[in-house]
Amino acid sequence: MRLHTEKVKPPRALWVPFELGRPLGAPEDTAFQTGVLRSALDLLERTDGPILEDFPDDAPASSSEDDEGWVCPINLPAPEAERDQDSALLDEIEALRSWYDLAVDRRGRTAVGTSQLEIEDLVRYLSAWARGETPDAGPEENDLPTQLRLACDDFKAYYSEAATAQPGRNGSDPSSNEIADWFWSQTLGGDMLLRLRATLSENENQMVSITGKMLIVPYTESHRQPR
Amino acid sequence: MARMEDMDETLREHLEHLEIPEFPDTPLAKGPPLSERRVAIVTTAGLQRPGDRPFGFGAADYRVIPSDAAGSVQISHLSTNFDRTGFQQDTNVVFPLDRLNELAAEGVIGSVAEFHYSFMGASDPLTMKDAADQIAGLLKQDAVDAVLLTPV
Repeated sequence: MRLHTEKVKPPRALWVPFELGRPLGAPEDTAFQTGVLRSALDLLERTDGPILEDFPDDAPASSSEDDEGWVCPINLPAPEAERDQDSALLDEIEALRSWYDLAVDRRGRTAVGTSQLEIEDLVRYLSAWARGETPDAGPEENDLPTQLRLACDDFKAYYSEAATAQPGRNGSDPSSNEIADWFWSQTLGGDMLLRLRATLSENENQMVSITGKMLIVPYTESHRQPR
Repeated sequence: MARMEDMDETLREHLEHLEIPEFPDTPLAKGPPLSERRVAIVTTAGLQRPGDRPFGFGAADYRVIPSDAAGSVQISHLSTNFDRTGFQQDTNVVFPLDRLNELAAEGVIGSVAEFHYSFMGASDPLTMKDAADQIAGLLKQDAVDAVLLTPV
């Protein structure tokens, strides 16, 4: 934040115009990342601080932002009245699995796992909470609000890792906005988290309630309601 | 989108009214040329090694990220209001260790530190002072004379 840096006045700072969460600008773009890094490191040789320089270039845009936009081509199972929500959700997880597995193979890592629950257990754990139950799962050392938050983050990461492994439009990956829009408006998983937000917000444990209100659905999606 | 004007209104208002510590002066140390510096990364992205303790509410402590564990780091930051999909695709967009190693191999910087450190930036930075002082000592022990700070 430029505003915050102006107040703190660190010796040397490079302001970047990229979205929050991407200080080096763009994933899988070595040349662009190196350019940002060099601009920051070059400030070390200057002694006329406090220095606050602006990085001049925007991150390369996803080409899909310039045309019709990214659409997840996988047909996700629709909820049916005669089936329970857990099995519909598990089917959705299964429909995305080959892309998630590919993402893990290609990257050699995954951001899923901070809750130490497998994806099927995440589904059961979170949807039980969304129904108003109080299940217990995961490492004992994690307190309840922490485990709930990590489980939500792992669950969201499973979807976005699967989405970013798919072929993008015109050879570029979907933007973070497109992935968020897909997850929160079109998936059963996003819908379950919206119901979870509502249930947890009413919880008598204040930290669980804060987790529900603030740490599951981002500000940008907070207007959404469960279908 | 670290441009305020591009942000969601609620987030922008939160950031505009965030209490920010101010300091009476700015220390400005001189050092050797960049090509001789040993560089470490200190991030507030809430990074941890897989299986390490996740960051909780108000966490003012840090996690150690050794260079050889950089490829498998995970995020346990509290906030849901920054993009994580970039990090999921490529850790270097937050924690650019591969880029630093390349610059060291090219001779642009002297070397890359053995250990790096992560805080979780949703906590009040003033509560992190003790941990930051410890890290300063650890960095000196590792002969580090340049630190790259990466927020999310």
